[in-house]
Amino acid sequence: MPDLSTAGAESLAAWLLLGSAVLVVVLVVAVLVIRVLRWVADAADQRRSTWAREVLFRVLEGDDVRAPWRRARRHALAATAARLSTKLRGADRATLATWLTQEGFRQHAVEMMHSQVALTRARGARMFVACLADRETRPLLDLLGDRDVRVRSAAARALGECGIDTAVPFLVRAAQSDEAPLPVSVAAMSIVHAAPRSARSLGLAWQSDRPEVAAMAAEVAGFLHLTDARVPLEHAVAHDDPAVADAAAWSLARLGDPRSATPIEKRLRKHDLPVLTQRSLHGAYAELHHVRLEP
Amino acid sequence: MSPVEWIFTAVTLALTLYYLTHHVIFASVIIGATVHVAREQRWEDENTQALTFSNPLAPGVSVIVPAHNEEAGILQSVQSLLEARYPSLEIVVVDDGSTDNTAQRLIDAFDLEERYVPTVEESVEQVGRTIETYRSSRHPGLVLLRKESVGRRSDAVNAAFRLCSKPLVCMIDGDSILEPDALLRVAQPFVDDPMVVAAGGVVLPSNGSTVERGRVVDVKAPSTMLERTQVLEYMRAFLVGRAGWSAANGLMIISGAFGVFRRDVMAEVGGLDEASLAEDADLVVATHRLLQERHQDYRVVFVAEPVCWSETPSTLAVISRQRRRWSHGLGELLGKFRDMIGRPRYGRLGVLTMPYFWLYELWGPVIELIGFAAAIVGIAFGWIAPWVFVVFVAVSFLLSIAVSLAALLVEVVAFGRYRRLADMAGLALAAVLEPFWFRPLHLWWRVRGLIASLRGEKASWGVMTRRGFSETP
Amino acid sequence: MTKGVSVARVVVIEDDPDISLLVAHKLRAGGHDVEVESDGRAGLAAVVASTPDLVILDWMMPRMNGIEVCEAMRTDPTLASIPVLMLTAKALEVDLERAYAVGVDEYIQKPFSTRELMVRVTRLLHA
Repeated sequence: MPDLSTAGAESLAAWLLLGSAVLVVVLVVAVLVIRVLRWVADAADQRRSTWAREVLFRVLEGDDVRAPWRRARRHALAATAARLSTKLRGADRATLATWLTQEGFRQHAVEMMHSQVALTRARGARMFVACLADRETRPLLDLLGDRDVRVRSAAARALGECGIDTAVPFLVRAAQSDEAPLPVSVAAMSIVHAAPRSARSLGLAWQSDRPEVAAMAAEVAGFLHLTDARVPLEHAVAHDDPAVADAAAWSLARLGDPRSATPIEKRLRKHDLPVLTQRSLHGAYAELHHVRLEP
Repeated sequence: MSPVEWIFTAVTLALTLYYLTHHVIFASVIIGATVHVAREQRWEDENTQALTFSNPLAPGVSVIVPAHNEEAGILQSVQSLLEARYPSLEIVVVDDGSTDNTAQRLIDAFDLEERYVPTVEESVEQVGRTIETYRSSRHPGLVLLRKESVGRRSDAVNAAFRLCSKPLVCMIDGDSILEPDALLRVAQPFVDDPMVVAAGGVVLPSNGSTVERGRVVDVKAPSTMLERTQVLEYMRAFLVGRAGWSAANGLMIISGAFGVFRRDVMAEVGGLDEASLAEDADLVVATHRLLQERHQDYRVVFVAEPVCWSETPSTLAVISRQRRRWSHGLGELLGKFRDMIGRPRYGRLGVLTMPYFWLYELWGPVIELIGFAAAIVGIAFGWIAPWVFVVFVAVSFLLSIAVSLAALLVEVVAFGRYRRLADMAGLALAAVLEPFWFRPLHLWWRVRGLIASLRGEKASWGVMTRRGFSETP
Repeated sequence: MTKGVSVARVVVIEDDPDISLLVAHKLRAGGHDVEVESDGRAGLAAVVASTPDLVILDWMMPRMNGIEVCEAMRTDPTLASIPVLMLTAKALEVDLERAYAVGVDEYIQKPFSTRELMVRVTRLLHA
């Protein structure tokens, strides 16, 4: 055993002991101090948010209110407005958006959307929607090709939230992109929120070489009751991919046109589907004939 | 130097190296976890937004609730699921041969009637015979399956899995309480990224907190030191351990008390291994193996925000059995998948996580005992000065306290669920005391579990006496 | 918009302060007396205590959900006739059926318009 009773070893041991003891003490103090600081910060947040709500409620009443220039308050106002805006619709939302634009929040949102930080870009997208009273969605459409997937998703959600159906083809294209794809399920939800009235806006998706995009189109068409989607859906039932066939069959069942039973039946006859999909198609077929399949 | 002294020196050096690497690895895991949690937490606002938005088309989730003599907690647990914010939910409760009133309580509380429920997934085996299935006319998504027990949780889960029809399957325990938006949060990774095949959330002990109608309404630290120590253990395991391994993409365990899997992948793996004791980790490792061997890109993720509250043992007798079983299960698991350990073809899991668990988690207690024995021998023969040993023990205690405190720090910085200062102080105190009493006990339980796994013992459902949740009148 | 409506007492039971405070603000601007509660049980207690002229109710709340609050009100003879307006994010057809089945009088989906809300409030108070 090497001799440990040298001065060097002893002082190393002392340092180790001291260091770890200090670490423990620092951590205990940090835990308690941060707990207290969080109370203080939460209380301050709460106060500012209450204040911001009151300002915004007055805006909604149509009062003439000016936004302050102090940073913390402006920040609270922006955050509260972005949150409130998603809970409102109709005239309230438009009033809020017009006021926010007048007070310079929209300009700021556009600047945020060009930030280097992904989180800031995503927040900018959300703020931008709160300020949007017209159909000028260009900055959001640009963000659909962002390098960060979360920002792309945030932009898609923002577009869905505006409920502007001209954005649908852009969402479909973003979902099909190879270099910067938008998650298909996010695209689906955004399209549902944008609520296009015709299956034509899903155009590209039907012929997509990616089955999940075609399945998404089929699902969305059924969810939104797009009656003019019947023909493309009947084609989609014959798709090689079981997920597409499944989604299409159920959407046809939702549309409820009895003519659609034939393509489903044809697909079932091919007997190439997994058991679960097979059963699901049977269910859709039965639904079209108004019978419940309860074994 | 005599040969004995040579051996002693070699052992001491090896042990020192062992501790050193352990601390280096653990420090990097803590840093990884902190960065991961901090980064996720900054997106919190956006996530909340995404959740409310995702409502109409979110992928359906089937929740499996295996219950064996859970009459104390089952109603709250099912209630919490019925109240969950999730658009498309199916709840399959399995009464696995309970001898108490688990099934009857459910039948009475939710108006269940005997109804046929079709088997959706034939590929997964079920051992214990199904007795009866029930449905509720009031809650269309609720199914109760009564089956004969074969003494294992995994068989109960598999039986329920056969009935699940949604694309995602979530497993919780019969006494778990989910936060209202926990399912939305844990399903979000599947929405955002099609490569995600499994996701796990945080499990925290509900002991001490106030539960009302299936919701934790007031988070409090439990009153006994044993339960508080477990709160710390869970924080360490989830907020530090899992978050860190997940950041390194080498997550090995998703808790059976709160995990979500893609149904198709779980079916392909064959459901849970009926014979395994650590069936939750078994499923994750089997999934890794399947997908790595197929060269498929996939992700297993940990989400630090959603919480599932679960009651943990409040007596030493129960916890000793539980820990013995965990250690036994880990040994069994690493034995079963030993061909993956150290193999680069299995990615980070193979070269990092599994060797770590094998060396530090499974064999850790034995090595610690050897170290202790060596030190005594060394002091007895005068090979090392007693103060060296004292310093060594003191530093190792202090560092393990620091790890607990780091987990507590992550909690308070990122989430702040425990709002009272007294609770934080109590937990910090438990962290400081833990090495002096809990650690030796834990060491002993783990050694016994390791021995059981080496002897290849068979084990069954742990007996857990629940007190039920403290409900305010 | 509140022409012809005398002062009414309204209890708003809603756990999202953005919404509960906005609704309270609007109702107060309309000259009504408003009490806000943030969970179902406290809300029901407030309704029992003050037998208001109208209850505005969220669905998903801690302690007791909106459906249960409504059920409890409908089984209590002193509260059974108080109109209930449900304001909820639940959007499926089955949710609507369930709400009307337990005796909700009006159902408004979130996101909502305060103008629509006030129109329906006025109608309920007149009925």
